[in-house]
Amino acid sequence: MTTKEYNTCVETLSDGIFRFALKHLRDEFEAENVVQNTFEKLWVRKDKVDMTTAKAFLFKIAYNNSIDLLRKSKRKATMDEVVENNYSHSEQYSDAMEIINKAVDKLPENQKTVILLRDYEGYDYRSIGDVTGMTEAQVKINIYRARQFLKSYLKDMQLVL
Amino acid sequence: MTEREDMDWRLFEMLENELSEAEEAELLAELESNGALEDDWKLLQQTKLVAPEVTYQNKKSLLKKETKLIAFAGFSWMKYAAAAVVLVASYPLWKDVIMSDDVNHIGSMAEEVMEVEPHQSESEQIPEMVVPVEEEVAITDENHTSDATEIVQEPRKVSDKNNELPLPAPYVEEHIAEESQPKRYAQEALASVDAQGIHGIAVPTSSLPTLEYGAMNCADLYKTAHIEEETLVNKYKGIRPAVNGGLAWLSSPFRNSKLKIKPVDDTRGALKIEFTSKQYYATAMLSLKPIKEDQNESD
Repeated sequence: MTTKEYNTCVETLSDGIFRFALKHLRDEFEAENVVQNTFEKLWVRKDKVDMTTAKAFLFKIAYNNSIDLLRKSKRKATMDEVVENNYSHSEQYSDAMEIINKAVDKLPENQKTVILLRDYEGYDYRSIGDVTGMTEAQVKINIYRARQFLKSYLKDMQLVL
Repeated sequence: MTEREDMDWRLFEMLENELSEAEEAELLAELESNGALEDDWKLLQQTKLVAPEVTYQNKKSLLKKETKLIAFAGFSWMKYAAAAVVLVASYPLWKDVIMSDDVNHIGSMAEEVMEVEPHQSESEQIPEMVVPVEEEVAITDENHTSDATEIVQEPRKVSDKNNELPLPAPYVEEHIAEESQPKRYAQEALASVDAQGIHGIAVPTSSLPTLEYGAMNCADLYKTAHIEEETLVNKYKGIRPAVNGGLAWLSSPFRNSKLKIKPVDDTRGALKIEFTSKQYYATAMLSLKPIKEDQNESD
């Protein structure tokens, strides 16, 4: 990868990486750090990464970095917390989009990652597997579970509203 | 998998565009006939996330400036220009060589020494400064001149065997015959210099190793180490002193200098070269990767 191609990656992919990290970490400062670290690693390995694999490489680095930060800060949502929070609706939601964004934050990290890559970045199962280290079947089942959770969350919210 | 779970899975696959057209049409027909199922499908469609518009503000801090590699192969004229500059700059050193009348100056330092030093008779040199000479020189050197024979046959004042360096056996057997001649000259030169007291440095000759490999032996080094620069330029005409002097002059700004070469990163795709001296500090990056064709085109 040339310097020019690296700069193209920065221009086209940094927003997505930032959004991905921000959605995981829910902290703008930490998300910015993730973006910095991610592109720094791309720059160091730019001779080994070409443009076709750059996006997957960046998201993989960002994913690992985000997971590490979450583990360190102990903010990783466990399934128990998700279930608990699922039925403790205190916020008032303006529309379905806001509800669904709140629901995504309550997903376990692996489900959140796969559904973000699927819907935000348009990745297929294999590409998501490359980023997360899962098999295609694992990716598919995790997306399925995530959608089922979001669906039930929306259903519950509609009942409350 | 229950019937309900099976239906959820099929709806999920339809949302993911993984059903065939026939399967999708069949499922849509079921949805029309089942209101609860249709509500589920509508909820499931809402789980398709829409990416929010997020902009990373610090893009500029991530951007890198393009560095162009200099292809030295494309600047071959520079080599010739640099060579010309070096030759012109060192003209004061090599002009004596080309203006010299003596065409036999291409030789060992021992020959140069013999030529410029005033000749003195052997009787004046040897008794004062006795140079320890191995017996093998006279015995094995078949091409010795009469002078050489005289030197060896002179009575010795110093016979301290402990101070004489032993001659390596292979050297004696294989090389002594062909190299004894310049060595003898050097020993004579050393003796004559000290005898005249030109440089006034008293070095016990017995402590000097007199036998070394090649025409430039330790006696030569001892002699040339005390040659002043002016003496070198004015008296010692020849290729080797001129070249040595030129190299010393060229390298003088780089004395006490350090040159570090290290990989830039673990990919080892580039080297960083650091030059440090009292006067100068310079760094250079050297890419080990060939310039790609597409990069050349884009540049």
